[in-house]
Formats: sequence, C-alpha cells, structure tokens
Amino acid sequence: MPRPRREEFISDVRLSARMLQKPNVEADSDTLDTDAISRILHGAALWLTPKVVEHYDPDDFAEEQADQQNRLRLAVEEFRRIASQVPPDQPATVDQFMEGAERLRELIKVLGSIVLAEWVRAIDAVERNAEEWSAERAWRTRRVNKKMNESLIGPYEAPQLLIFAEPNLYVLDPVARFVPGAQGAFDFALQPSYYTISMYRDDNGIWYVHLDKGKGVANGHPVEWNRDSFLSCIEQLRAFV
Amino acid sequence: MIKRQQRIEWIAAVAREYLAATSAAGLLATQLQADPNYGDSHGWEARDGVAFKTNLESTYVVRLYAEFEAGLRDYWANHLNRTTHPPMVQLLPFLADQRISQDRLEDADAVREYRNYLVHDESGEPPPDMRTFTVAEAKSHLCHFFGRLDPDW
Repeated sequence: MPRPRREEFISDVRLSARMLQKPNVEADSDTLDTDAISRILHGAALWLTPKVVEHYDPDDFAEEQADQQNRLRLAVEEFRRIASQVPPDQPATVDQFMEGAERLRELIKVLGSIVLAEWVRAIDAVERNAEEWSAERAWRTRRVNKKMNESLIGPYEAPQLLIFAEPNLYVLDPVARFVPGAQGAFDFALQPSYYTISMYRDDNGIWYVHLDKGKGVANGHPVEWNRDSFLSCIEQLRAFV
Repeated sequence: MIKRQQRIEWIAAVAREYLAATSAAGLLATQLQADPNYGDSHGWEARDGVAFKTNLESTYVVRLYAEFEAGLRDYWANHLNRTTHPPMVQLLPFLADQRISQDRLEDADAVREYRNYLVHDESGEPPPDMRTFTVAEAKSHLCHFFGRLDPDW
C-alpha cells in the first residue's frame, strides 16, 4: 500500500540522514587519500540528489507553526538547489559535497524537530489514555524517561509508563517513531516476563495492538487501541505470569 | 530456556568462538615465527597460516550470519508456521513489520549485504556505499534484531 506523501518525504530524508552519518562521510577530509575522497564523493550520489525531497509538499506541513513551515521550505529549497547541480552520471565535486552535506544537515535539523515534536505528542496521548483507564480501576501509574536515538530525530528522551495493576507491573514502552509499515510502535509488557504485545500507529494516526499474544505480529490480529483493547492486553499478558 | 534466548546464545557463542580463534591465531603466529615450516607436518603451508589470520574476522561474520539466518528460518517455519522459503532480503522486513525499528532493520540488513559481499564477491574492496562490520558489531546488530521477535515457539 502506498504511504502518504508526507511520510514518503520524511522517510526519504531519514534514509539520507542515515547515509550521511556513515563514518566514511564523517571522516576528516584533510587526512584522506585520493581514493578515499573519490569513494566518498561517489557515495554522496545516494543522498545528494533532488530525489530526496521530491515528495515534499508544503501543504503536508500546514499544521506546523509558520516559522517552522518557512524554515522547512527554505531548507528543502536550498538542498534541492545544490543537489540539482550534481550531474546524475557524475560524482559530486568536493565543494558540492561540502555544501550538500551542510544543507542536508539543516534539513535534517528542521524536519527532525517537527517529527520529534509530533512523535512525543503521540506518545503522550497513548500514555494519557492508559493513565486514564488505569485510574478508573485504581491502578497507580508512573512515567519514567528512557533514552532513545533514531535516525533523523537523533537522541531524545521519551517516557515509559509503568502501570501497577496489582499484583503485576506492566510497562507501556515506546519502541521507535520509525518502524516498517507504521508511524511508531510501543511494546506493552508485563514485568518480569519475556512476553510483549506490540502496538503500532498506522498511516492514519490510529493506534492498534496485536492481540492473540504468542501468535506474533504476522499471525495475531490488530485491534484498535481503546479501553477494551487496553484491558485485553492486561488480561492476555497476565496469563504469562 | 526460551527459544529466542537459546538462538541468541548460539549467535553469541559464535562471537566468543571468534575471540578464541583470535587468540589461537596469535599463538600460531608466534609458533610460525619460531618455526616457519610448522605447518608442513600438519598439511598446510606458512601462507595458509597467514590467510587464516587475515580471513578470520570475515569467516566469523559469515558464521554469525548463518546462525542468525538459521534462527529466523526456524522462527518462520515453526512459530509462524510458514512453509515457504523467502530470501532473507524479504524475510527481514517481513519480520520487522510494525514492531522492529527501521534503524535496527537496516542494521541487520546491512550485515546481510556485507555477508553476501564476503561470500560472493572476489573483488578487493567493498563498494563505497557498503557498510562493513567487525564480528562484535555484527553480533550486536543481529542479536538486537532477534531479541525483538516473539520469545518462544
């Protein structure tokens, strides 16, 4: 199934960010020999191309604050300008590489901050749901920050939610914003136990849980995240104690 | 022991075996300095000893990956009850779908590509866009991926 244009754009920049992070690109060019420089410039063909921003459409970011929208638009335009100067059948020059890397870093910075802010809000919304449903049953909850790191958005902290549904302790644990086939994932686990229920957010922003624990994501059936599925998770995980 | 942990242990055992082999290569190098013809009585020549040391890391990356692939195929057949035999380039993203981070999938897939280069490509240098891995790095990436699968089957 084709992904939304906005997500395609974000994914393309994320992949380029990952390629830019590769050690051979980060190396100090003053200490490299000619072959190494040549390899780096050839490697730049993977990210120094207008294709990286071909799915960008300002309308997809219309809900962002005006200054964020402008910064993103400018970063895309600047990157596109330098990337368009590299012939598709030739490696970039050293100057093109240096400027392209700088422009891409700026694009990563702007887009990464937008994606991270949205992802943190999504985490908060899921955990607020769980806190509310837990409170209805007088289960205590507590948020504990964990350190995470992902391409494009870099290092960040996000809260795990601990749920004390006596006598058991459950953890609602954000896994990543970038997950194949989804726009974010959580683990819902019972401690101590090896068993986990996977949650994911689809391209429409709807969260699902993979119930039928033990059958795996591929064989289980996804159920929309709501009070009933939250309680089903608690029940299914409790069976593994 | 649950199956997932057992499989991870087997991958980790290959990495430990590599450390033992590294120590053995060091001892062998010392022996060859003292007696360059040491291998003659064992059916090999000095240059084979050099090749052994040179190729040690690559050999164990290939072995690590073989253990990883065996584990995934066991999971595929005996946990997901699939009778097909998809290539690993398809199996990895399928298993990662909706549960393993894109970064971790790409790390494991990069190890797969590097392993394929080691097995199939006779040219001297990996392509510029290829990531290369030490045994420790490959073990970390492959175990991380495996650790995200269902625990038992």
